[in-house]
Amino acid sequence: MIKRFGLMLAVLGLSAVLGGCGAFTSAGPTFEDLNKAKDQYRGEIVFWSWDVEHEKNIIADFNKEYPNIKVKIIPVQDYQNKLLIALATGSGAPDVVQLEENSAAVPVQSGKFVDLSAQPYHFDKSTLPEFLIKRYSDKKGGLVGIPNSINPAGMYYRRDLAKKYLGTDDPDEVGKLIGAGGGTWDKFLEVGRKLKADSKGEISLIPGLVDLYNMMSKQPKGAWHDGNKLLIKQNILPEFKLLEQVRKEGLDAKLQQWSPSWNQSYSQGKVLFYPGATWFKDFMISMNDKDGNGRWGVTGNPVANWAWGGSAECIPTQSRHKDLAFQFIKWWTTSENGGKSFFKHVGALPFNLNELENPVYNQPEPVLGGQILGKFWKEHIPGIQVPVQDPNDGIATDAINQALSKIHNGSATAEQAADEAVAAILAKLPDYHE
Amino acid sequence: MAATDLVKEAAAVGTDRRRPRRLRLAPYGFISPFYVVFIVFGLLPIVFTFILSFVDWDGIKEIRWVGISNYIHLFQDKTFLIALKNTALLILFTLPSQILLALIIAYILHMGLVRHKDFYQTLIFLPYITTPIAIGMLFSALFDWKYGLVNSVLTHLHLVADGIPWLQSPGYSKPLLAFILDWKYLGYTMVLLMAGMKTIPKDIYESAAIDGASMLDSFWRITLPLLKNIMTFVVITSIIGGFQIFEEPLLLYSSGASGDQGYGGPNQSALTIVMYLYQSAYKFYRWGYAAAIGYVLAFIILGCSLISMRLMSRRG
Repeated sequence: MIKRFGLMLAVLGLSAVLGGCGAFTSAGPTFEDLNKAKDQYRGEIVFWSWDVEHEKNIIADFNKEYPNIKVKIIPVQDYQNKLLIALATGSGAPDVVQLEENSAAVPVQSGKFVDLSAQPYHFDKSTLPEFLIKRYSDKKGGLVGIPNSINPAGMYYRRDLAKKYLGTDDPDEVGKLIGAGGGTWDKFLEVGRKLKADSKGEISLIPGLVDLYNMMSKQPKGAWHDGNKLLIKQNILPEFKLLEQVRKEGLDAKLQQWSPSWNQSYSQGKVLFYPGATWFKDFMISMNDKDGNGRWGVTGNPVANWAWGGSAECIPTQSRHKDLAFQFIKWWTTSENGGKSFFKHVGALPFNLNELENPVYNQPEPVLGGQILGKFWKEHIPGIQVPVQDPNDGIATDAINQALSKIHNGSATAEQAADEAVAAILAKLPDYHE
Repeated sequence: MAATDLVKEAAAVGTDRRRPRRLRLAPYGFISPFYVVFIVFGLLPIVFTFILSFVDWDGIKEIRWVGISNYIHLFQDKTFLIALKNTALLILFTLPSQILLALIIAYILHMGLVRHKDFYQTLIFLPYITTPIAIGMLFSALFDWKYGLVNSVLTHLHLVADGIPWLQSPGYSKPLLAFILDWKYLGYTMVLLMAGMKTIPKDIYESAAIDGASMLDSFWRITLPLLKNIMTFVVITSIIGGFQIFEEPLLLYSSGASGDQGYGGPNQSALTIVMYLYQSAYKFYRWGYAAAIGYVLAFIILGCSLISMRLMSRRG
């Protein structure tokens, strides 16, 4: 019995020692640790990524300046759930993790990430646009991730169709015709009606209802809630009504976003506008319309500017190499070379607006008929207020999508769909109210 | 030596306290891998999930004990009831048709009524080993309303004027899914039934033939009754599998994060119980609620399996 008791004590003691070691090694670095010469940083960090293909090139560029930091990039499928398990159990998380817009809400509010705006990291929040600060701030106001890019969005369009049916393919002129920045959808719908009439119904204004809803949901009036108050009737119902009108008038091509026919439509020339963000050029247009050089343009947005997508780099508190992890993040997100590298390999723009004047980001773009993008995007960033992501977004988005699908297949009116969305949300989130 | 002496000696070996401790423990060491794996990956998750079904937890925040309210909420939850109805209807659509078709094909192949038996056997079995993601992509492309092959054929033959919205209309989702499930699992059921048919001695058929029994008589009076055990197995495993339908509807109707179908197809007409479980756990982060769905599903499967076993033994 005494022997067993002794053994238990030994195990407990060992656990305490090992636990203590863990606490020591995962403690934060000092100011000095973060301000050494680049070649003095030495060691290996683990980086979970969902885009290994492109990001291994960025790591190669990083190693030109930090030759002694080895970044072990691990492709993580379903990383959101794996990350939550690692955060909840307190072990297994990497040194750097990339949180994507859609899946950021729960981890950001977990309290398991380092506040990068606090000492000793002291990242200057004021360099970020307001909506990105909100997206990556926890409840205490700490910034837990530094965005690797900014992703303003616009209306991509087929120049050949614009010239034929609108009489111009100039981005500014097309923007004026659709009422870019004008505060309403009226002019945009007008263009749709003209297009339908002139093409005898062959050419559509937009691919499908979700393309438009997605855009509206990322504009300032896209929020489904404010705290515990639901804004479905105030914000979403007017959008549903507009979508119902688009469907009734037959202005969309009834294509389901991301479906094979939606992808094919880029090269088929039956749809004029595709609302999309910076990454659409490389990941949608160039991929789906391989011979489309010069065939495309991008212009401003009806109603308001918006942004779509993007990720931030974060350091879990359990990381044992926070100093090295921070060097990697700092280089990638704030240095001139890091920004250029990300632009070169992924086509993403840095969040630092002053950088967008840099000639690197202002070369004529062949796919878009020689358009200069850096300055264009800079002009379309002001006013972006993407609603802040919330841990309950999954429930609300599902309810709204279900409602939307009923407008799509004509089994509910906009009012009925909004009522159903409210009922579905309240059934799962009883603390909310209208 | 008498037999009783041998027994006594064997018993003495088994209980020999004078043997070294490590030798007495060794057998436990040899059988332990199974138990360790079972406890860690089987028993613990079962127990943990059961406890989880009584809590409110998103995987990160503090766990809150809520008693049986997850279970109460579940039976008031319209979405769960829709998923339950959809799953039951899919089983009703697929189970009889699949077994009947598999039985006919298995009998034809087993009796050698067609040439190139192995070829047909492989051909019919192939969908079973096709990955669900490929099946999802294949059928999404085939039944796409604008550019899908099915609608192209129908419009070219002037059978329809405009493409049929196969994947957009709630009315088509269950027949379409039933077709895909039958197509996929037909080969597997057929192989099981063929294995059952192989255990029936040939001389029974020969005797029947001498007595003047036709092929159909042999099927009804010999094959079918002697397949009872394997048929019970097929029915029960099909019911269990049916309640676990997940990948096919998920992939057929998944169109990205903000697809205009919503999760579970048009008007949730293709939402199954396991899909809802998955959504509750991994999209809504309601781990406790998802665990409760898991336990209710397990009891539904248990109940249906017991009922079908009882029914099938009565018929025997």
